[in-house]
Parts: sequence; structure tokens; C-alpha cells
Amino acid sequence: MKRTIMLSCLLWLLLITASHLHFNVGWADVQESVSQSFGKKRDNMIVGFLPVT
Amino acid sequence: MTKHGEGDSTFESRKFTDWATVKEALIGERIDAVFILAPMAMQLRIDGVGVKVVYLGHRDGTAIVVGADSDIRDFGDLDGKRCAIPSRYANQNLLMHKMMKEWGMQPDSIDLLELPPPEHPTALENGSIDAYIVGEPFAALAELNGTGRVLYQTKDIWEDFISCVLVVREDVIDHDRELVQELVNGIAKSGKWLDGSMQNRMEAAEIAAANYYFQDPELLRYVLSKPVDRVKYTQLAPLKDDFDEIMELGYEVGVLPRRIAFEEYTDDSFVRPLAKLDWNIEHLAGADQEAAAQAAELIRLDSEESL
Repeated sequence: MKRTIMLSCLLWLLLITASHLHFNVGWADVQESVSQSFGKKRDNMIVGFLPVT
Repeated sequence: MTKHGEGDSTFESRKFTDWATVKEALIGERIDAVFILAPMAMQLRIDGVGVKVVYLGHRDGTAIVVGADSDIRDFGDLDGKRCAIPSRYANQNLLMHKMMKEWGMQPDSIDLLELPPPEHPTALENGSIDAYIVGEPFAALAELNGTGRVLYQTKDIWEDFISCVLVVREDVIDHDRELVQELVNGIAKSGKWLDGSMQNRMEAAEIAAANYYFQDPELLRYVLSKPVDRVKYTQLAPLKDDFDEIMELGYEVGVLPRRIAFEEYTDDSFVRPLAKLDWNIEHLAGADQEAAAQAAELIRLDSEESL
């Protein structure tokens, strides 16, 4: 019984984490962050602007 | 959103419609860099946001506009009138205070009203304001519509006026210097290309109208040619004297709560490598060069006629 509860909690945690990464973060960003934490140099930048000089 | 880059790097531009959202996106790290109002960049730094000014977006490109039939003929006539400014943290606000001081007017003698730039021409037309000071293309818009008249171009009242500056998050500068350098190189090269000839300016007007400003290309052609130095895209290095002047004014009129040292909010180390840059840039990808050449020729003939 104790093992089943632990397993269910773990699965629930995994499901919630995966849903968060899928809906809120995006898998491309996750992949980019993981690559950068292993020392890969960034090759993209987001630059904001307002259409006024 | 559009993407650009030479080689493997990609620069995504993200359009915003108000300064508050820009600030939130920067703090929330949803953007790496942004073109932002110069005093706003100083204020962000005072607020503890880790950003630095690395380059300028342009020089000049702002005008004070009054109604086409208005009896306002010089700055002194604005006394007692209502004038729209793009933001309290805009250098346009500081310019109005600078001018009031120079003309011996009280700091509250002009009623300055904060309005988003796109609303300035409409507010002037419906009479809710008497004048406005704003960056292009919203000054030219009223001129072209026949509803407004330029009282002063900033180039005539504050030489080499600074409005928007390129601000980059400090963590991005620390970890990805090469990428920031590539961005600065790109801006410097396009600026030099843009100021290189009228045909280049006409090409840029087509591209910017379709992909960034979503405005009539005719409006942007006007901005970039009437007169040709209405907006300048060279001399974009952040200089201490220029920024100290803005900072002192901002502190004096109460926009900034304290003085801030140039080095505290600026990183000008990306300017020196520009000396070794290969400046070769022929044209913008995707531009209709034939149409640009025709527009440039029309402007040349128009200028000859008006002489």
C-alpha cells in the first residue's frame, strides 16, 4: 500500500512537471537550457522594440 | 516576430506596443535585449534591474508638432498649452523641460500629458492637445495627413538627440559576449548602410513598413527623406558626455530619484571592436531594389524642384 502511494505521487509529480514544461515553457527552450548548462554557446537572441524612433 | 542573422546566429525581433510591457518582459527575462528610452534605462538600473546600455538605436528622429492651422510659431507660444509626451521616462520629456528653462519659462508652464505615441496625431486632430513631441513616424504622420505642422525637429534644438538606446541583460553580456557583439556589429553596419545613400533608405522603408512598423511605406519613405537628416543611424556609440547631460536633466526635473554614474548603466566595450569590422553590406535581403531606386530618383527630382 505504502509503495503504491509513493509510486502514484512520483507519477503525479512527473505528469505535472511534464505538463508545465509542455504548456508553460516549451520543449525547445528546455533543450536550449540543458545544452547551455553543459557549456554550449547560445546562438539566438530575442530583441524587443517599439515601432517608434 | 522576424529573424535575422549571419552564419548560425539568429536574432528574433519582438514587437511591443507599450513601455510597461517592455519593462516586464526584460525583468521576466522573456527578452534578451531591447531598444528602450534612455532615461528609462537609467531608471531600470536604479531600480536594480541588471541591464546595460551597449549602443544607440539612432540619433534625432523626434519632432515637436502643432496643429496645421495653429497660431503657435515658436516654443514660447506653448506657454499655457497642453503638450503630449510619450512617457515620463522619455528624453522628449527632458527636452521639453530643457527648452522651458532656456526660454525662461516655469517648469509647469506647459501641461505635459503622457500618451502612447500612436495616439498623439489623433489627440492633436481632435483638439484634446495643442502640441506633441514624439519619435517618428508619428510626427511625419500628422504632416502627411495635413493635420499637423512641425514646430521643431530635435536636430535643430538638441544636436544629435538621443531617444532610444540598445539595452542588454547583464547575464547575457556576461555569458554570451560574442552574440552581443554580433548584434552591435549588425546595427552599426545597417546604420552605416542606411546613411550611405537615398536608395538604401528607400529599400529600408519598404522592409521596415512591411515587417516591423506595419505602416504605409510612403510614410516611412517620408520619414527617411524629408529631410534626409531627420533621423540619423550613424554615431551610435554611447558617449559619457551625452548621457551625463540626460542624467543630470532627469535628476533635476525629478524623473530620476538619484544621480547615476555612466559606468553603472553602460557597457561601451562593444564599440571598440567595430574599428576592425568588415563594413561591406550591399543591400537588404528581400528589398525591392528597383522600387527603391525609383523612389530615390523621385525624391532627388522633388528636392531639385524645391531649391
